[in-house]
Amino acid sequence: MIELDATTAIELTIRIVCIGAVVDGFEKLGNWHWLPKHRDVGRISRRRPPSARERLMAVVLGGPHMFPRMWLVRTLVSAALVYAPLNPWLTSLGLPWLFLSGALYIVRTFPFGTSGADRMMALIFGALCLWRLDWQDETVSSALLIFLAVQACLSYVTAGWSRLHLPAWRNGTAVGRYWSLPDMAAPEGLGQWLEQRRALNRALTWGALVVECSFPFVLVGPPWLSAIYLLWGVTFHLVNALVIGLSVFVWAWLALYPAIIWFIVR
Amino acid sequence: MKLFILAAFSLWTLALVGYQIRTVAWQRFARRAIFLPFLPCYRLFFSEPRSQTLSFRDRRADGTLTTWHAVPILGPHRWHHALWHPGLVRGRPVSVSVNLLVAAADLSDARLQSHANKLEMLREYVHRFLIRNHPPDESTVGRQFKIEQGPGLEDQAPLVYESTFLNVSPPEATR
Repeated sequence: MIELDATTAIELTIRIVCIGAVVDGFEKLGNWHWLPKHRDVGRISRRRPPSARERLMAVVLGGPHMFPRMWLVRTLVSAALVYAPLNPWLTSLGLPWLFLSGALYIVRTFPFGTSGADRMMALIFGALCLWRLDWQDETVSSALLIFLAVQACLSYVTAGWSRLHLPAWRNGTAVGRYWSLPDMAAPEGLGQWLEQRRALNRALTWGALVVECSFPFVLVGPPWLSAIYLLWGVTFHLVNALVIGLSVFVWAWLALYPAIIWFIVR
Repeated sequence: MKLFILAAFSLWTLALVGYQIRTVAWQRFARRAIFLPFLPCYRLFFSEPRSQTLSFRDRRADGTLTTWHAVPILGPHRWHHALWHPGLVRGRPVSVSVNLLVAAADLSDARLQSHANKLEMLREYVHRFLIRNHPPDESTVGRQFKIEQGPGLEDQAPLVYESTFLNVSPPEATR
């Protein structure tokens, strides 16, 4: 039987999400001039002179050097937190910085350049900031982990439920079709091979839907069932990373798993 | 402090559940919610499998048109992108814009009218992306782009978005 106390689970969460933030940091630092700027959105959508607040935001978020500097500090702080996730100084100063910079990034690029991983990481860092306000309290630590475990369930259930209404998912062909798309990294011909084996394609497609829609059972089911859900979740994210190239997405979601495991074994 | 933190976690969870369900009451409230960009919307992940092609053509000063030129949005994925994929950072804004423009094809006229500003913003963004990546030559006076979608399901016609000819700005204006 695995043992995982709340402190270790939070430590693992910080390490995993910060590894994602480091990868994300280097990816965005190398391409920051490609990202949409706050002024792009404001200038086009409103067609009126910018207010003082908007001008300030444009300087902070769209200035030529502000964003890369902010992001460089973010990447360094993330790397330090991977090394020492529960250091009092790092957590008290670093976690708010990670949340703030993530939030500013979202404001800067919304609605163009923001991905689910950006928002999930901002959500995790925001929750960790709340926890840090009273981090010695066991109830607060438990509340943080329950919050993160609920987020994992909510994300899978919502995604699975919304896909139930889509034809390619309902008729069991979606996985083969995804793997056949030219901009996926699946091996040549694998998608076509899977599309020819309808039963297997249907099993994979419906398997994903069923597991996602019933994911909350991971928290309340027997241990063997929880283990199956967890194994499926890790495999699902690794396959997504390999086939679709969602590098940061994997870290953002896997950071929720220590909270799920803690909930199961507590 | 403990009560405040517990209340914050509870409210945050409720807001996230509301954001996924999106009832009419929630939508009315969310129009004024400044925190909306910070809430992850889990409904968007992996919808219908489709491939999209973005192409453009130029109009020269003498009135002639060039042939359509296809532009890769995200480019082909490789296995190492599981660990490191900077191309996604570059391509995502265009990919999102293209998806939203395609989705707008299904909107009614009234809804198109109410989203006119947003659609113009998206069109301008794609246009500027194309100008930056494929700078026009001196004889170009306008550029048009189109989005083709397919192969989707056999029983669905491929959706196509086609812009009007947009003025070509000097490259520095696109930065």
